[in-house]
Amino acid sequence: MSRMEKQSESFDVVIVGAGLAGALAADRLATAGKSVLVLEAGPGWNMGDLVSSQIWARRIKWGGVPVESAGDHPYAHNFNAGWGFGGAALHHYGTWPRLQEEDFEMARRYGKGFDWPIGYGALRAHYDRMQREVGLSGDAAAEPWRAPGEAYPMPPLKTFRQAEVVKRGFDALGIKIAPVPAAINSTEYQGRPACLYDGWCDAGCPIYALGGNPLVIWKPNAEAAGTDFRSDATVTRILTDGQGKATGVAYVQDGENRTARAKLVIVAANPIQTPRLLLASANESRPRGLANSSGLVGRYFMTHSLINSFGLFNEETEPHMGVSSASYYSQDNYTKTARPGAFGSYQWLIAPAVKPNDLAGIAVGRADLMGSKLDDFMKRAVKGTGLMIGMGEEKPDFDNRVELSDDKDQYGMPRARVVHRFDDEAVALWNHMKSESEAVLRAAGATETWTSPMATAHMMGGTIMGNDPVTSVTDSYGRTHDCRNLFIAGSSTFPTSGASNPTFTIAALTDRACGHILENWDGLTA
Amino acid sequence: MTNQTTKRPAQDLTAATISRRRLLAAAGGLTLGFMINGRQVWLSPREARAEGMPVAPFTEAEARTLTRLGNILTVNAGDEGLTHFISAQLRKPTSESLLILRYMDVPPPHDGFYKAGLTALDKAAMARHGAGFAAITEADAQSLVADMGTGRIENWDNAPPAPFFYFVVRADAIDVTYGTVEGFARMDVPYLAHIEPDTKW
Repeated sequence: MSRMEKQSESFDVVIVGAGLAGALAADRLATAGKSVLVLEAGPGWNMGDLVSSQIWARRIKWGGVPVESAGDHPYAHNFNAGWGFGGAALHHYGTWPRLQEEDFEMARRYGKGFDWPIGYGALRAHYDRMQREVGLSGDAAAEPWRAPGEAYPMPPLKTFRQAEVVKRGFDALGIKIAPVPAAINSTEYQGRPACLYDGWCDAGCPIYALGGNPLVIWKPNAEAAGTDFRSDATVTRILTDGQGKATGVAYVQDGENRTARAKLVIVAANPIQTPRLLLASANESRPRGLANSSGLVGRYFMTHSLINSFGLFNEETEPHMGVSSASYYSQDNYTKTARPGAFGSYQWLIAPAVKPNDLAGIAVGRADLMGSKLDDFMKRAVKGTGLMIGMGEEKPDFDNRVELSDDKDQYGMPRARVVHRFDDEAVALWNHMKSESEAVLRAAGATETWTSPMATAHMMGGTIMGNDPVTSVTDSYGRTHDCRNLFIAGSSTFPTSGASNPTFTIAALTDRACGHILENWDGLTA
Repeated sequence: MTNQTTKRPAQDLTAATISRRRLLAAAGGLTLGFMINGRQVWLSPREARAEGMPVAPFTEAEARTLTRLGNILTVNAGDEGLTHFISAQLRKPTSESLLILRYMDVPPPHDGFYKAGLTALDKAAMARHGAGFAAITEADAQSLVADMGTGRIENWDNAPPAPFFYFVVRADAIDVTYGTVEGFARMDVPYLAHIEPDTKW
């Protein structure tokens, strides 16, 4: 192929981003016969890059164009974001709870935030399909809070001493817990091996036991169906014609400016890079950015408030064993108005494997200790730590936003700036989690407890879905209201965050959207 | 004399062929290479320190300050090569850095972060004790570092906030002391790698 030809190729679909949503969409569309190009700004990771080390694992976290993080509670971008093939799902922990029915009906039930344009019922079949495809371990019958759906295809993951020790505290306080629903094999599943419980999931699982890693199922499937995945390929603009229809993307690879034409474009970056690309694609007819007639591109960015609560026990807990996700979890007391002064749901992830170092490790949280005192502590803590992780919901807030910075990257594209603040009700919810975790750990027999400061986990919103083009950016399938052949995939379309880890819902939404695209291909691309 | 790094070679694995033992055997490597008199020598950070390898972008004085700070923050990070670890990472593109600072949303380049903090620490030592950080007594150095961690430190200027600098360098020292295969072994914790890092960093 000549250089000129390569600079202007044509595909049925161009997908921006090779994370979970992008790889899954490529799988679905290519398998159905569409020609698909996936452009990924980061490196072309493969399974051999997933080295078991908290130090080495930093390579697979964000390494792209710096994101400015501002506001009273700045979003911890680089720790949460991925880049390269697999995206954040390359190092995600495989915690796959569903959203609950009330998460789809916040406005109707509580008079705050938004309702989704679909209820849980519209996603149920897609949750069920995805959990069969990926392979989830868990015990649905043990989750009284769980929305209706099929039982998990595998039994729960194995638990270790830490889980049983911390469980005592929940039992003592009467808080229900259940085996965590995990996209990790507890048994051999569809030719992939069972987990070894060595606790390195957050460095990426290279043994194919964590099925939510996009390199395990969807990217190989998509490639087998002809999808062209290109790494180190930065999309700088979405191209449109005079009628506002998307015609492809402009991107840079190997120092060359290139164009890929497409009948349909899917932006599957993340809740920061997706709004950034839409805003940076402004043109004369759309000076506020693409798909932004509502002025809401970048608005209602959400995260989960995070707390890591540690306890030190005078007994062996084997904290290095297990999975990074959790052994048990709890969405008991999920109701959003159950705490005075607070608003939002929360969940506990109980007894994840924890290593000595790194941001979420044992040592970093005890900043008061150094030298020999730290060493004495570490020798006890690596044997006797118990950990529980809380995630709290924050309701959508117009002022929490992604916007374009005045600074530009090497390609002349404005960088993203994230402005974020937890409101008083979210802070009150976090304070409740802190108190409850300390009570649980003490009841479990901890001799010391300590917690992380209020932190952030996951990202949602920024291009929220809805029925009304005035108050939302996309419809329930992720199709932008302004442009019928421009879709957005990923958690940026969430109108509310719930307290559940978002990955399962991203997968279910993407599965649903791809079915819609294929069923309506002619109309969408006409 | 120049330094260079090599990227871990691509290894693709398939579900049909994996086992932990096989993955261990398949692991490639990334390590520090030093060209000495036209010959390439591969050294661990501890060996690099012992051999007096370069510590750019740090000056020798900054390196002494950082090494001592490392030995105060954890029991042996300075001796284990903290300065060479950080130095080596700072010489890479930020996207390849293994430093925890990568997580902290500090705009790159990151050498200024460390150099400014070390300069501020030295000035604070001078103001409080009349000598640079590398020259004050062990008790005074420990007290100064503890105060850096809580922000109760005078004359800390033109640098990242003292508690933040403490947090980051302490986390680096924790990586060196507790985050490696050797660190796990020292604490009698099984490392249990799927793909074992064949160098520390």
